[in-house]
Amino acid sequence: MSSQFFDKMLSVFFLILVLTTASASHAHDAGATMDPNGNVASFTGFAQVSCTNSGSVPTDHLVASIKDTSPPQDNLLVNLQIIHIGNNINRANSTTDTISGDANFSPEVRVPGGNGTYLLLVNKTGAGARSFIVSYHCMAADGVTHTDTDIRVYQFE
Amino acid sequence: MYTKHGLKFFTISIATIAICVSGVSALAHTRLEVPEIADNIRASNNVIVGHGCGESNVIGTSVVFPDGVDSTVTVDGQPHTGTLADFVDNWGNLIKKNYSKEVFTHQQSKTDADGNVLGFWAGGGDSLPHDMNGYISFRVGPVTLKSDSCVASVKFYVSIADICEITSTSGFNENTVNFWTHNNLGTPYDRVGTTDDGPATLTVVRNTTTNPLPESCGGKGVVVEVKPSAAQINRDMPIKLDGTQIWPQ
Repeated sequence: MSSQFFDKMLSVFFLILVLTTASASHAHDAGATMDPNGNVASFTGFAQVSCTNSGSVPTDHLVASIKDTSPPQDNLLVNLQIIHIGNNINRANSTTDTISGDANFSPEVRVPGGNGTYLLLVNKTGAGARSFIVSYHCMAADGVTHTDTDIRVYQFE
Repeated sequence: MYTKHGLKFFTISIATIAICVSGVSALAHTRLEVPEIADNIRASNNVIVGHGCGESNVIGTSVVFPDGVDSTVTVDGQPHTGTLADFVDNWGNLIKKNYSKEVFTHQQSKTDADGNVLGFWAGGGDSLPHDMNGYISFRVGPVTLKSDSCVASVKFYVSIADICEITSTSGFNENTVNFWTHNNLGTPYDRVGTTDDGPATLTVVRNTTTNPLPESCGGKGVVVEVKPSAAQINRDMPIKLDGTQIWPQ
């Protein structure tokens, strides 16, 4: 009886969930909407990407890009920055999707920091809601081998 | 005739008692299949639900890892005034449930406000027979122990509730839920017991070949342990689906 009750509860909630949620993503793409109310020009997403070996193959660099999936709006673009500090490799890089709403990501940028953690920032040039997708991948030196990639989000506001 | 029947009854009684006793002694705590892993390695694992609530089947399980944000951290058994980040570079979103309907039909991650996974729940379906094991599959991402720290291992205490009947918190008892949780946090989800032996554990051990201790550690690393805060257990132990709480209620 308890189990049936549990099932019934779940079925109802899952129906609601299915009807209200639609998503599609790849393993290391993350999408969301910055500044959903459109009034926070300083809205910033802040995450840490952790790169480790794939088997015995170490990470050489983190590569990332961003795609603005909202309709174009004058003077409103999304940006992405990668920052690495530590192990005597203090480097950063940034990229902007200059054409909003098309099918293309911004140019890829990379920071060669090896295994370890990288900081990832996403922001925009002014107030206004922006839906976006970030693609991020830890890569080996051959530029082909995808090393282990994990992410933790610290801030999205 | 009486003697024969008496002997048979006696034999059955002994057999019954033996089964019952061995059955009781076989009641295992819910634990992780692989309680110890190396750092910087991605590893599959299972929560093993060992038994039901008496004769009642398990209809769901709720699993919570310490978030490392307001967790209690000890070093060689002594309170640490810093945070887990002093010893681990990347804790916070490394647990991922493997989708499976082998035991329960429904499942979902537990996340913080930023979407980082801190645990998971599974429930529904035919229920797990009270006398059988249930393997709840998940994966742990590579835990990076801080290379410039003296940490030798980090033990995470994993709080688990095996639910046999959906009740409110006032309905919690040995017939409705098994708590594999701390006994001293002061939450409704605390395990009742005199010793704090409830939670499962996951210990991440430093691979000193690939991540050697700094020379300043003098060849000896420290043992770090991480327990969840009461606030986190109160927030994360309930089962919620799309923001709506299903258990307890």
